[in-house]
Amino acid sequence: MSIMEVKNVGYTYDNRRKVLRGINVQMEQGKLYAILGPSGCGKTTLLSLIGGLDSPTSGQILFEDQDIAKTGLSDHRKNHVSFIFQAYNLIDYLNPKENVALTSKLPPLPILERLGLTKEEAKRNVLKLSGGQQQRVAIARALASEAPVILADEPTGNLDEDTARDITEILKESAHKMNKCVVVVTHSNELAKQADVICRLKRGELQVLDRISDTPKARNGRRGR
Amino acid sequence: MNLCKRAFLYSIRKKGKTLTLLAFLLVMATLMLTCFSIQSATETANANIKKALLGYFTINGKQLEGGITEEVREQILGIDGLSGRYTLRSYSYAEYCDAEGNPLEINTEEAAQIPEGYEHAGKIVANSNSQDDSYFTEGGFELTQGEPITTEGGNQVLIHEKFAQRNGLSVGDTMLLKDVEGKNRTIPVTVAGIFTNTKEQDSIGIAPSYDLYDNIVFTDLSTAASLLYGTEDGASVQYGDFYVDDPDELERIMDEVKEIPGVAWEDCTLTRYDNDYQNAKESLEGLQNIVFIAIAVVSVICFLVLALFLTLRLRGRIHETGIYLAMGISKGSVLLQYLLEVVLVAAIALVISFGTSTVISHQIGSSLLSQVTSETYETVDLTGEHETAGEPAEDLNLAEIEVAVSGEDYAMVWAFGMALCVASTALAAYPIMKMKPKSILSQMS
Repeated sequence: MSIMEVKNVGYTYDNRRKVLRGINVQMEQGKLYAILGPSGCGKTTLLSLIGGLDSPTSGQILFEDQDIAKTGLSDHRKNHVSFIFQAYNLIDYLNPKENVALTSKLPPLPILERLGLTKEEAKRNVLKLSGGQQQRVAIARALASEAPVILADEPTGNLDEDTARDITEILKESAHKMNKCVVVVTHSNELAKQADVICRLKRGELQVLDRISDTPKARNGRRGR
Repeated sequence: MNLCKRAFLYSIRKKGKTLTLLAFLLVMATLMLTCFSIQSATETANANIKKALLGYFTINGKQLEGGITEEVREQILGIDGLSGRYTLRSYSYAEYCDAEGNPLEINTEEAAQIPEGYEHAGKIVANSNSQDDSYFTEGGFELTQGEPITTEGGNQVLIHEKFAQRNGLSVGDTMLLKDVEGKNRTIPVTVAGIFTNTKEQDSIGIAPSYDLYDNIVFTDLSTAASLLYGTEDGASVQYGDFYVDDPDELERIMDEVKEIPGVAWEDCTLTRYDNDYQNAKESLEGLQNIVFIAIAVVSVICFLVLALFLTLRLRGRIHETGIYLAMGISKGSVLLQYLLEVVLVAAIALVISFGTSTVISHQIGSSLLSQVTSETYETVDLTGEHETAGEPAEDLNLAEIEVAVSGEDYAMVWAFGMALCVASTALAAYPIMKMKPKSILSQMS
């Protein structure tokens, strides 16, 4: 049962440059999706459309079969999705606990501890944490929001290999153990290898694969499940 | 986490930015409060000057048959804007005799001429209260013995000390006033007091004998009415000075007086006396205009500087705005947070500004007011000639004016300051708030 559906979505920059054309994909809870593609192919734009940061030029984004343009983008961002960015994007005057508590009523410390931060680190200025720790805080913030969909834009892009591996593991666990629908835009083959579904974006069209080595399941189309 | 907590945490953790904003707002609040305080003080000074330099008008009814009657005076006093204070005057001439009818000696040595029939005569000045007469208030006359003459006492006179010495008269003695126009009116009067002049008469050698200070006699209105009109009730007078509450209202009041029926107003002369007030007013109005312009300029500059400062501050927070929007926090909530941060700091600045502006307004205001006050004294000429003036400031009640921050000014600055903060924040945040979250995030990255 899909929770998010991208239905025949197209996107044009400034009414001139077509970035996305007729994209169709369904996404389910409990799975990790990786969107791959060369730089500038529209991966982040697609993630923004799924996350309700922008509206498609054509087509629809559905959350639980409801068009998010009709239910409200702000409401969609608040209740259905949470973002993880490459640059972490933490609020610099709030400590990790406060960052996690921004949109969540859950106690932040257990989530942070589960992601490997100590109590002391949870109270420290976020800018004094390492990149890996900051990304863990960002993931904790996304998990604490209780949104069923987590959208991550190159979450391991700024991290060293070991930390990137840890973060990949956390994202995978979020999908498999916490039943989240995790959509990751990445250039990392290591991360993509861990994904349940690979989506390759090329020249504005999306190919959906079951594994990174697979051939396209259906050209620019739905996965028949 | 609600927006209030976010605003509070931002304010206490971004100390440098908060203190810079606090400094900005403190300077602005102090400037505004100081301007408002000085404006209030000038208004008080203006009100005090109105009270001190009472405007009045004089009706010269000398040509009226029967003078200004009591009925007319009642109607005048019924006009709105009159303070109720008035003085009535009549002038005539009389021959002075002792109780037995023998002529008394007058000063003739310093006279330019002694008109025929006036060899023992002098000027009779009658008014409702001798102490209010201009000879006493401005001419330097001083009562040395006895009591002043009021409307309550009848058939009384005040005589000059030299006239008294020359004729052996003292307080309580009786003398006669005889009319000099051949109407055979003789009025016995009692010497109620003796006066002297503290300033030399300028017109010695050029004035006729009856106008010399030594030969002037002050009496009550009923005695003057008996001499002038042959009546004893004192109801008719030649001149009336009527004081008004607000000198600015003089013109209107005088127009209303001229509407009173039954008086040949074409035979009367109405003269307004508010030069002192008008001159003093000019100085104060100059200061008021300066303060008004200062308030306007300070307001505009405050708005522009604050808007510019907040624009730069919010531009540095696009990243943060994008994060909040990506997390589903509404634009309204983000804008309110930014506004609340400014309002929090503004509230602290306004509280502190009470102290700073009290000190500054006292310093600047006192200096400005004293400058204007001295100009005022120069224009109204109270400093040198008025002997009773003593401390001139006391006469105009300007010395008592304290340039202090009033509750009303403080409330006004609070309201104005908060409105300024809201407008500046809205203006500064508008370019960011009208952007789509995606555009903000693009700028972020």
